[in-house]
Amino acid sequence: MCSLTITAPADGFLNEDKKVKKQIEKNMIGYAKNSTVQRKGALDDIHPTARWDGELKEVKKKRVGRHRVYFIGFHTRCTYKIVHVKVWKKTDVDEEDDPNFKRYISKVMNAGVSRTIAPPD
Amino acid sequence: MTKVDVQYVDNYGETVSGVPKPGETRIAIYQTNVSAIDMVESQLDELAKRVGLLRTMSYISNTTGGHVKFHEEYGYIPILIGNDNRPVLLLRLVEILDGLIDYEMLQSELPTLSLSQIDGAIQFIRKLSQINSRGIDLDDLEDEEDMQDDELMVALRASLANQEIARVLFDDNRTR
Repeated sequence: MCSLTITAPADGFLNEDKKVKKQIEKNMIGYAKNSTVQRKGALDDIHPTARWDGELKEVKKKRVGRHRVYFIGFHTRCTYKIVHVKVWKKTDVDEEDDPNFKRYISKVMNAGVSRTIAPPD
Repeated sequence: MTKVDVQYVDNYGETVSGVPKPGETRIAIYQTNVSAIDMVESQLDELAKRVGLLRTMSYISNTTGGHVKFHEEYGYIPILIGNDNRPVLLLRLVEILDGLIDYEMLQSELPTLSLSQIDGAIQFIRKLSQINSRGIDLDDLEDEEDMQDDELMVALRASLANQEIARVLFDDNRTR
């Protein structure tokens, strides 16, 4: 069973919402508990984002419901550390106004016609 | 592997391809890079797979009340339509379900499965819920958004630089 710790700044975000805190901790502890030095667990199936470099190159992201947990660590070291938490907050923003959905729609629209081979007569 | 297909004009002015016959004079008119064709074929195969999958998902939706919709204007990504006539991504519903799951309880119901397998299966459903005709991965888009999120970058760097551990959430050798 591997250990799980949290940094002070990340803990600050978790403490903002007790329900979310319970949910994230329960999930993350469950994942850490299922890893050993010899056996990798769910947190090891996630790879650090290839786009990040420098000190961020080992940071991985776990999606817990709509929340995002950024952590470092690997089962061979048998320790994981939560370094940041993005707590999703319910707003009155509609799905269509969600920036991610907007970007998706924009990509879908832009991927329409790339080249007109023969213009109409 | 790159193959080159050469087309020729033969003795009679006809366009032909393939290996010239003995004594036959041909003038090469153009070369086609077959690897480019392979690439297009592979893209078409990928598109055909996605269309096939979307057809299956659409069929499944029809057999379950047709609540999950696939609209052209949204690139056929699975959506539900709210009572305000606005779309809600099926992915959002799956995310919320994921948040409500008690993984330990789930594992006690399915003791032969590891937590990794259960988590992998949920991630599989998550990916299925965002299949669309364009092959756009919403998780990738979110990761791109992370890259542009200066606030996140600053917070991550500060947290990594700060070695102070606020709490030990779990350690075999220590009690919380």
